[in-house]
Amino acid sequence: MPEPRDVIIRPIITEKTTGLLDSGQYTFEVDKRATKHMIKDAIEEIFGVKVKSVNTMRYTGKRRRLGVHEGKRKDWKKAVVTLEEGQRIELFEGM
Amino acid sequence: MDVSVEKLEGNQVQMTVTVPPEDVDEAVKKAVRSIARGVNIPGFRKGKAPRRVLEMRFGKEAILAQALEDLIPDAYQRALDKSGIQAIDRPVVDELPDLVEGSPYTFKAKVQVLPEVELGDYRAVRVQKESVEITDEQVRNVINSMRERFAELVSVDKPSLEKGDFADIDFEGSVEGVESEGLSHKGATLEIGSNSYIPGFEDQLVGMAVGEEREISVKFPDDYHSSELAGKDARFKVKLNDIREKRLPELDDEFAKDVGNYESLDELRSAIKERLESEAAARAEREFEDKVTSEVADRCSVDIPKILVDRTVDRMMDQLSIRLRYSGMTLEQYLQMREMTEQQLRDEFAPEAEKQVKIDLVLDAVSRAEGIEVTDEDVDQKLSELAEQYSRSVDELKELYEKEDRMDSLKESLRIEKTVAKLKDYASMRIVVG
Repeated sequence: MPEPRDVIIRPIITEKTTGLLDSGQYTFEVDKRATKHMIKDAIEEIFGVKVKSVNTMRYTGKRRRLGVHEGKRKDWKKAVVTLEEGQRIELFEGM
Repeated sequence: MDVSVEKLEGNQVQMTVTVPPEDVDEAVKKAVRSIARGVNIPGFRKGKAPRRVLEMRFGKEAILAQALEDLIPDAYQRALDKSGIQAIDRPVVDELPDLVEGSPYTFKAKVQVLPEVELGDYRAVRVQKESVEITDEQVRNVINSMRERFAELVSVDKPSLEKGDFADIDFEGSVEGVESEGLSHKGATLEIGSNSYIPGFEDQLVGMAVGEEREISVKFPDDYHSSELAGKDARFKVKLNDIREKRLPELDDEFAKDVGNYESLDELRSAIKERLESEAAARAEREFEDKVTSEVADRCSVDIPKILVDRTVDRMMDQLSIRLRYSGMTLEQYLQMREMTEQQLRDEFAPEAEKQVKIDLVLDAVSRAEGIEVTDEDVDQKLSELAEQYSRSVDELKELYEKEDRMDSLKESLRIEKTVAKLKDYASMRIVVG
């Protein structure tokens, strides 16, 4: 079992995700190999909250070019975690 | 909004303003919006960052500080309107407590207000208006100067030129043997004894006969306006063409017709007298008014605020520089000419400005004490006077005043005008009623 803090990489804070906060959904970048169960366990352990469900999606890194060198940004995985009613994460502390 | 006012020393007032919580919250919201508009935060379009994100970034304090900065001037202005305090200077706000959302906010501001005038017994001022009387002599003087203006020069048959005659001369001048065009003239008219030429020039012509030529030598004075010629010796060849005398027009009805459209000499005389009288009356009225207002002011005491004096001095300086511009001078040049600094000039104006401010304050206080009010009729009358003066229609003028927001200041000046008129009435009363 990997450490919870290795599973969860960072919170994602954008216009879209701040909108989701009001419905108890928190968005994170997670390890590509993490499963929904691992994410659920990790969130529950780190923040001490009850998770209702986890939705995940994989992103392919964007192609970038610098002169003749072609590169690619890393692929990554996003998880939208829905908490049980009444649960909150003080996500923004110390960001 | 709640305002309480407390009087302090030195014409100051302390206002304690309490802003209700709704207004505080509104100000915070506005501050959030304005901060959001100005920053770029990754993940958010410009101006779309929500409050919690901003708070994370800049801290709650920054938002509240911004809110306070927006809130205070607005609250101050509304407090003035509500309390009817007339501030004459910027407020001094010693300290501002921190803003707390959802609770009322209270701050204190000290402002300078118009001083209270201690009215003396201004009704007892008595001033004698200078009586206006035009003597026949004054009329005669005016007529004489008119005759001078209408005088004609007439050739006379005379053996030689004398003092008081007008000489028609041609002359050529040379300085140190060099002829100069600027010193030559043909057909010049010169009154002998008028000292309008170089000293000695006129004297040396006395005794010449018509047609005679004479060579004279003169010395330009040391302070002559052209430095090239000053102090130099010069020679002039002068030829006398004609001797003339000034002939004043006969003082008869014919003269009256010539100078203006007067039927007879008597009519001219009475017209002149009338004009002199009305000029003198206007002058006397002005002097009377000045005397009344300054004596009334002398009987009152008031602590004259420095800021008003400074502003009046500013205005005087502006007026001076406008007047100077008409004569093609700048204020700097004027100061240079008088060898003084701007501050010295201001100091010179200060006593007059102080007096003016005091009179204004006193007149304002008197008008309130006397309950003087400006009615719509007063305004209409003034407008029709002004309309006549500027040859505009009354309605046109009214519209103009309203558009430029000058109705209030017109009323204000009318109020002062009426006050002055009242004071003049008191001052010309004969018997003091106990």
